[in-house]
Amino acid sequence: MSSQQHTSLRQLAEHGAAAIRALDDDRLATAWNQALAELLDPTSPLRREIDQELLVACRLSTPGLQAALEVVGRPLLGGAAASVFAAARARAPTAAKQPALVVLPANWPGLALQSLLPALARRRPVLFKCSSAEPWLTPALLRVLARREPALGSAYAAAVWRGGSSSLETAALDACDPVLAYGDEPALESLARRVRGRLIRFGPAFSFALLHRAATSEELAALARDVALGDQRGCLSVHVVLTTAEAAVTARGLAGELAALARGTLPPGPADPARAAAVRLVLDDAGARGLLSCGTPAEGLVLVEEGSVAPSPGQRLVRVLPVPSLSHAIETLRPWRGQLQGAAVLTGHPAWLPQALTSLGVSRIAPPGELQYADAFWHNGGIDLLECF
Amino acid sequence: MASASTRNAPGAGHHGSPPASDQASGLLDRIVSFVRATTVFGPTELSAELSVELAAESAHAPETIDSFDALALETLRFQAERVEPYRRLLHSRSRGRGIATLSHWSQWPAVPTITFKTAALLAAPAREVFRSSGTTRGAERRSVHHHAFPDLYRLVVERSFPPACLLGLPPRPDMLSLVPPQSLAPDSSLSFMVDHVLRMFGGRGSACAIGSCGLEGEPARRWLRAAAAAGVPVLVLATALALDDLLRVLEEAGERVALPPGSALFETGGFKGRHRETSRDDLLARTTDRLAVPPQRVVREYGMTELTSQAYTRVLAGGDPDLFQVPSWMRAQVVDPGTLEEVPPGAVGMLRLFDLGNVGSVAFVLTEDLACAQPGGGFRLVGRAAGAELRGCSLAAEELASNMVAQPPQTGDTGP
Repeated sequence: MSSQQHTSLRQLAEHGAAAIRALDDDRLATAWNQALAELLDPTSPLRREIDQELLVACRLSTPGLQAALEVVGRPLLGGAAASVFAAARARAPTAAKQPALVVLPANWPGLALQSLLPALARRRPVLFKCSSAEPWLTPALLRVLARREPALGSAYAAAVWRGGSSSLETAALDACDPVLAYGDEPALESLARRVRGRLIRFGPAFSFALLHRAATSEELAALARDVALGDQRGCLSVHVVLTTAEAAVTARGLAGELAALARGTLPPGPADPARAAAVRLVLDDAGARGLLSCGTPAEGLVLVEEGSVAPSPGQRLVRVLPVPSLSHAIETLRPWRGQLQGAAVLTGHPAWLPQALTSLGVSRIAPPGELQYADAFWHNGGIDLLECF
Repeated sequence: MASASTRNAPGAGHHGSPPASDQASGLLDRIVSFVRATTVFGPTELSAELSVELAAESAHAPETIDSFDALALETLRFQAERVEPYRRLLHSRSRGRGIATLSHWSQWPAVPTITFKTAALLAAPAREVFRSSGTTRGAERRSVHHHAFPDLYRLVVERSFPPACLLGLPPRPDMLSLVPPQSLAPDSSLSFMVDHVLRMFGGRGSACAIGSCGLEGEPARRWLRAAAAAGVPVLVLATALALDDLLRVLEEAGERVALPPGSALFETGGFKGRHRETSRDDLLARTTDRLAVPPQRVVREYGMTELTSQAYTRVLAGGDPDLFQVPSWMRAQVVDPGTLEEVPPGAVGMLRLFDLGNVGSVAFVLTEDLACAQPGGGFRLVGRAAGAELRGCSLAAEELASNMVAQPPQTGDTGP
């Protein structure tokens, strides 16, 4: 822990709210849009500064990194940001002045954007705790933001420390409210005990596709993109396809589209040994069970599964599960209620389907190819960040 | 519980094993001979007393012993005939090549340990059924090892445990077990193993301090105090979790019990998915502090429900405390997940094990562990395959929770 980080936290706590409240929406939105545009431009000074480290840290290909940033950032730019500021204005002003703490994950670059925009709109200072695996993007983004609007330098800060090893951690947990954290259940439980009622959880989740008819080749290509974006590391990444159509045909088609993406516009990043090992285990287990597998570990694998839903270990491995009906699919998914984030559904689905999916805890429903591009008002995990801030 | 074999008659197929086909019993007998006759870890591994005992046992072995490679290849052919999932895996991986082209065991596919959760893997009728603790999604995700030859299991324990865990200890040392007995955990392979160790090698003062509600702190403390007073080196057998529990009991009581010099600790099981306020380094430091057992007297075991045999660190013989060695009837390879080719020493890959002790199920197993092979032999654990737990945008808070630390690499999956 550095004394500079302690100073940043003190500044946030003492002056952050006042500094940001002195700025009107237009100035904030302008600074936001300029900083975000710089982040999304691969030729910008910001990107030139961080891309090399980011590529290594995120294990994405160069096109994969750009696509992952676009997924998160593009829907928050321009008019979308203005809408968020407008929505914030429409809410009762918050009296809270203490900073929020956001514990960021490492597996998807740019996730800080999802909480930064509503925090700006609600004038809430934030300390971002970056993962030690990816400490580059958020500090650089905040530097750009502060360059555009210097007062924001005392309202938003990013820090990196090893869990459990820092007095800053104790200070941050004491000073911040709310604490937003991404993590697995035991980690979140432990954190919840420490911050008592101030924790907002983004627990583990995955997404799926529900096909009530045979998908067209265009739809399968779009679905492949939902799988391949971010190399399947996000909670809106499709892990499982449930289909009432011929599963083998769907699997072969999807594997072909994954291979085309891997060879074309969205090559995978370097394999992570732990994920590559998990994929190998799943693939060989499928072989022992006599399941149909299509594709390759290098370009994406599609398995025709039997029985129950299981999330993917990642690295573009998808399980296709034949189901006799959509109702059956809903029941098959029910054991995962609470861990289902998004659903890709084909056009022409029955009218009752969205309600049934919502009852499973699904927070986003979209056609194939659009699932990952959540808009500025998407409530990740059902959580309204404008309300939280 | 299965009937206990005697020290002098551990051969599988002779005591308590099911009638096997000629093919099965012939192969089994040759594997038993191999296990009995070969030097387990190295030339200077046994105390004088144990050398005499095991030499007498080896005298029963036939003069001609098959090579490991020959037995391994025959075992795979035997299992390909009898284990339908293995045949399917072979078919899916061979891509049209016949079995005849696979002239070395390492060219054959290894069965992922996760397949023990999804398929019945039996090459012969099961006599014991072992189940993993199932830490993920309930009972349906537990590994099941249908074991056809429990006497072979006992034999490999008898051959490998003493040179790894009893060096420097007196004959039949008193042992304190912090592993549930088989009467409490009938499907635990670790309990099966530890029960047999206590029977075969434990002194009269040996005891178990685990009950149906977990660690029995007071009896454990009494036993430790008595051992300390007696001044004769002892062995403590524990999972990492149970050891942590014991140390907490001592810490809460403000008690330190200096076990006699030369005492040792057998440790297995990692933390099995449970987050605790400790790391392995911390555990070792506390063990030294509370029990006066230094790290160089703590033997790590690597075993799992899916295997019959165990790997050990050879600390009692002066070896590296994190370097696991396999016995002579086992082979460890570290392979690239994509190509399944062996990676160079020092590189990270998947740990793949061939265990002749698994002749009754599947012998060639692809584990969920990541490891590095070492130039002089042996392997170090460096992590686990991903995907055992669902993450999804959630790799961060683990770093933050200060009362949780990264789990040490799991030493297998044996725990109760």
